[in-house]
Amino acid sequence: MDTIKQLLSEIKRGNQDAFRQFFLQTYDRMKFLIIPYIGDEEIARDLLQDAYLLFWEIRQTIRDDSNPEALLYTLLRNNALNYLKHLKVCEKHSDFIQKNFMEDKLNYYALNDPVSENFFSEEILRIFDSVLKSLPEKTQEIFYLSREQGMKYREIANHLDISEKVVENHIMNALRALREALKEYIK
Amino acid sequence: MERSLIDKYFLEGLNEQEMSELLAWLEADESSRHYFSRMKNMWVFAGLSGVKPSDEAIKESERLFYRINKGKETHNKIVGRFTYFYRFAGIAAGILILLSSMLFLFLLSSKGGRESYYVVETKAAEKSIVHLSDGTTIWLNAESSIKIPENITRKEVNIYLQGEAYFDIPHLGGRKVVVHASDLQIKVVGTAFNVKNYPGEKEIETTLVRGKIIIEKSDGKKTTNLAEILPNQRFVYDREKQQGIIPAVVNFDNKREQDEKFVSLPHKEVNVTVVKKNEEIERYVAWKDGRFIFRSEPFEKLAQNMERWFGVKIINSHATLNKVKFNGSFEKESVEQAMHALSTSYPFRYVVSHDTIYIFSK
Repeated sequence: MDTIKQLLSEIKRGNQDAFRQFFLQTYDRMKFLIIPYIGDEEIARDLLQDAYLLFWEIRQTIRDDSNPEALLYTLLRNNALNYLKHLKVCEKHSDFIQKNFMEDKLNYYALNDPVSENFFSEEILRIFDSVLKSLPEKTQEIFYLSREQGMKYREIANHLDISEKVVENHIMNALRALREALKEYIK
Repeated sequence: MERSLIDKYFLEGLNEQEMSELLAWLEADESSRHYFSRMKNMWVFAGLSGVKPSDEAIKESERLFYRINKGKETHNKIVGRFTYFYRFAGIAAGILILLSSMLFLFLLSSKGGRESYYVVETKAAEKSIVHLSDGTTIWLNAESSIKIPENITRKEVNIYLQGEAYFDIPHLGGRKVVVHASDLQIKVVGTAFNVKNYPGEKEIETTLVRGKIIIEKSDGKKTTNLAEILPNQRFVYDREKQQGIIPAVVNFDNKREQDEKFVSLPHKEVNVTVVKKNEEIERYVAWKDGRFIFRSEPFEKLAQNMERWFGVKIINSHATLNKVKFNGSFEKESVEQAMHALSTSYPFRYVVSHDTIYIFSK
């Protein structure tokens, strides 16, 4: 497999196979990133489709030294923000504030914060990686079950035959370690 | 207190009361809003490493490329294929359109003013019948095109075929009919036969029902005689190896392979008890009567034929399925019914989305 940066020059030349590789290498990560803000799978898939399509359409204008994954994320993020903005309009016309609307609002704040684009820098990805690796094995396992498999804390507790409180403590430790390591970025 | 509310958001989630509390606080205080945003983003991104490609990624990539190429293909098809016809002409009499919503007829005059042709074209899921004044009938299968001279009673008649057609040509004294299928020439006296010549396929297949045909090959310079075909024989020509064989007619019922899958359908078209020689040949020409018969057909090939028959695109990411052989027939089934029947005889998952069918392993 070629690295994503190598693929960029091929994609710019209109090579669809290269673009397919890029798609397969990045799709799940992008979906993983957007789902927490959007919630709805169906809508997330469509937002992703449109972001990739736009990426393909503007391929010739992409600078050689740019990080294609970060660019794709920017396109995706814009699509997602537009979608959430649209929801905000819907909310104005609604008589009562639902919990979902509040969640959408929080997500809008988070996504609108430009810092998320920095998270694609190699340095930060490296920090994420080393922090997670430095955690106790059990904490790592619980973290991955929660993030990768999308399991609820209760499900993890059942799965590992421990109490929910213990699961929460492990997650808390992971959160604390990440916050500590990235404190400059999230200040 | 507020910090712990944020922690709680990530840990156990908030109830409605707490949620509106958090929201009110964040709306009032910009620096808290930033803090929350960054925590949330960090939390999302922290899970990035180790995410693996999924089935969904594959399926969605097909959907994307279908979207990218859809507009382009239909455009190329029309422009690319017809650039050399310079004049659009009226429809010649005696042509009956059967199952065709769109039929292109062009009158072709070559620069030398030598001979005029008309062209009949079918799209996927379409078929046409052409009746000519000399009694010739030509059935044209899906995604095919045929070029026929305007004057069919000349001494030498050249017909050009791309795709699949069944010819029923009456014997006229002293007339020579030649069907050109890529670099093969099929010489005809008076006869009924089927030619399958799809550009994307490895082989050109000719099946003779009645009469006699002679098959020749030409590379532009010299012409070689390849075979003389008798009724109920087939000639299968390998484009790459540039050679052909006449496969022995097999009695299908005696030769049933272990890995073959039988498809049972409501109308019970599958008949495996008695297969006579004629019926064996029948399956190669049944399409003209609206039946789609397949025997011992690897899925890979079956899918190609189904794409044309139903006018769909089949995207298979279940590699082992490609080699699995199927038997059966379709007549009035929709593509959904057909896929359902196939998937009950060999397990696979499929998703129908517009005119594309995605196949996955179970």
